[in-house]
Amino acid sequence: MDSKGIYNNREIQYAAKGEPDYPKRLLHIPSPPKGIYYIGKLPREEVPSVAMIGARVCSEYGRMVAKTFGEYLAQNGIQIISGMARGIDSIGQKGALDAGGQSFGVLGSGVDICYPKENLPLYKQLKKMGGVLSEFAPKMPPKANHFPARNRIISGLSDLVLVIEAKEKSGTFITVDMALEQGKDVAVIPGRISDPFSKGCNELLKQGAYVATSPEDILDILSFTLDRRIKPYQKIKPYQMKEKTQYLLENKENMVYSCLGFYSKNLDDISNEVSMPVSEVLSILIKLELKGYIREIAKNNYVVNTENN
Amino acid sequence: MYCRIISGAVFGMESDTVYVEVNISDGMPVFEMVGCLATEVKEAKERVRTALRNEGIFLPPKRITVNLSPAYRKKEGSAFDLPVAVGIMSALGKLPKERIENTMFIGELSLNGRLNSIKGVLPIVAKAKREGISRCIIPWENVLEGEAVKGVEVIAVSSLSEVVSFLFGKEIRVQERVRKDSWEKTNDMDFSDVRGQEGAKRAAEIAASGFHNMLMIGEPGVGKTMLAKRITTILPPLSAEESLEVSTIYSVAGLLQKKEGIMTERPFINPHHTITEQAFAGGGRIPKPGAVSMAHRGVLFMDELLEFRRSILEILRQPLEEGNIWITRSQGAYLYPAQFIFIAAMNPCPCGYFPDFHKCSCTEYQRKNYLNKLSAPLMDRIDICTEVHRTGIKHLFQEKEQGEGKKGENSKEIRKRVIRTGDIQKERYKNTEIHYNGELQGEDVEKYCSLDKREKKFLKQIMEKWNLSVRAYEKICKVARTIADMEESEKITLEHIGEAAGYRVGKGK
Repeated sequence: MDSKGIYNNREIQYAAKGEPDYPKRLLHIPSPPKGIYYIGKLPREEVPSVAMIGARVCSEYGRMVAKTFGEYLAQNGIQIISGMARGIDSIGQKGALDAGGQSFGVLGSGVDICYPKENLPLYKQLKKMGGVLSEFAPKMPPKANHFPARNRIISGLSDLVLVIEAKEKSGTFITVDMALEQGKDVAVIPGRISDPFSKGCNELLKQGAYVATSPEDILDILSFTLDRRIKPYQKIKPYQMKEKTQYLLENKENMVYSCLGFYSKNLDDISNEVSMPVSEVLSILIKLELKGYIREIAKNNYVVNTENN
Repeated sequence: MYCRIISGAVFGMESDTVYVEVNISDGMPVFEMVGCLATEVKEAKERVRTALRNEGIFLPPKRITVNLSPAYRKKEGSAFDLPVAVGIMSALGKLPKERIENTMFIGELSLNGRLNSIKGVLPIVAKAKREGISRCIIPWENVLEGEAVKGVEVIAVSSLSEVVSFLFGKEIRVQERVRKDSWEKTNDMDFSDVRGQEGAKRAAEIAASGFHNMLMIGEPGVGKTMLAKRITTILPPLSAEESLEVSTIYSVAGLLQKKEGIMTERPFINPHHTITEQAFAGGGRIPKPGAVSMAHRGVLFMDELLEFRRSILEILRQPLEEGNIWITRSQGAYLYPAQFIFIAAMNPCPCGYFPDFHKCSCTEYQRKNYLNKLSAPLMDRIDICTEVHRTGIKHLFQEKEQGEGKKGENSKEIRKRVIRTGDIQKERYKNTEIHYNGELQGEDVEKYCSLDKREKKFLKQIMEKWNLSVRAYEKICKVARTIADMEESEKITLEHIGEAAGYRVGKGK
């Protein structure tokens, strides 16, 4: 049986266990998949890869960190593996692809099905510039019980698992458990102790995960675990986490902008802080939104916008 | 012996004269009532017979025929008892003929001769006045309603004996009138009761100033109902014409005698989400106004909007678009007024706590699904959307201090502004059918909310940024027009548009 192109969709290829193109990393995990369907490419064996995972509902902070790390690591030649899920997964992968790097999405459905639907642009990008992988046959719909199995492949294909943001009870922990079972290292981005979004991450730190507070830390951890020197490709200056850009804003606009951050604030709170009437503040918020500096995440609740930083 | 008595009835929301003709002639003793009568009208026979007997009048063994004309219109209700009794007495020669001329009689009789209250007295008496009838005899319990109509002599009596006494020119005992206190005293709700919530209060003031429909989004228990209730306290008082409209509706519903006889406050109607279609739209065997009509010239507040059945939300369409509602019955269709400010409230997500991530346990999918229940046509009719959040503890306790948590402006202050803004709109729309900016539709929006080049460009940017429809564009213009009016500014500025855009109704937000 010709394992390549036997399905109507000529894009889909199949790497069976035992064949030379089967990802070698998967040979070392308990219960490796019988084969991997893929569109595009498979992760390369000699290039370091990092799995970026996290909650599906993430905060602005998590959004920013996922994008930043995805970009930086990709620019330094690291392959980013994730699940193309909502939230952290897709932000990290998109960051990597937009920066011209390599990213691979492992799906809980057949490779010809894009789930979730709103990630269609990312799905297309992955097919073209990286790869879309799955253990499941084409046309298989996404089912809840597929995802833990899928997660073992995500960690299986990586050299390091990076958890960006996870709430106290998060599906991310399943992936972390599998990673540990597979003997992979886990790095975690810490967060504020009062932030429910970082509770899971901070918990993992207590259990002994690596701490990463900058993308360079990831490179360091990788060179340690892979036992070789990972040099940053480009001579980029040490990474500065930019929470907010200094924009040239009029005085009043500046006042409103400066009281916004990663945690959403509602109109009344902003109005009280800047001591301006709500009518005026609302008008300024609209202007800031138009300029792309802030976002309305829920009715009358605003955060800084990190998507275009 | 023949006699004709003037009476009246309500058909839908309109009133019309009904003539009670009584003819007593020789022949087989029978008491017949004709004229397309509902059952309760036919039962008048027994009530009248017994009431008359208790008056000492026994019906002779003759052929008694009573006709209610016009004979093709269906008569309902029990208001014809009195005119039938008076007609029979007159036909028997027991009453002075000249005293019953040009006089309208309405009322229900008890078996012992007492006169009971009926519905719709206000429109019936108002119609009598228009028809040139000089005098109306009505049940005592409806006295305040009846007397609210000026220009016609209203005699309120409590029994058939009193009617007879009156017709014979005797003095009738005038009873104590129990009049309710005026609005200022009984209405103890005030806008300043709401602590904090400056954003929502501002939105409410804009809604009241331009009669815009509003949606409030917030977790359970933050004060959405409290705020909605108080919107009536900042609306301008009812004009004489509006007061009569509202009073007529309440009279037809039989609720007016419990109040002052005339409605002076704007109604606030808050139906529960289990309400039936009939109670909401109006109808019933004897057509009765529904919730949408009871809210006429006032506020219709629907809390937990997404818990209402689709069919109920569908009924809202005509009132929101036309300001009235058709009630169809087998004998015809009635057009009831239903022009109100629509205020709706809902939770931001199924559990209610979004975007508080400490508490919200909903997935993105659950939220999207929940918000999908909002129908686009309904959302199209809502001009303002605002968040109502949980007030900080400090707001609840600080009363008189300035700054954060200060006791807000009271309704009186805000009402003054709202009235002033209303006057500006009155002037602008004086030669049209329009009263408020909220009513503008289609090309009227372009006409009355014109923007200069810079403002148009700004609004275009907004449209592009959020992918807004033409309807959304119109709504922002209308709200901006109201905001400008509130500042007594002829021109709509960038700030006005910016603020109006902040109140846009967006899905998923």
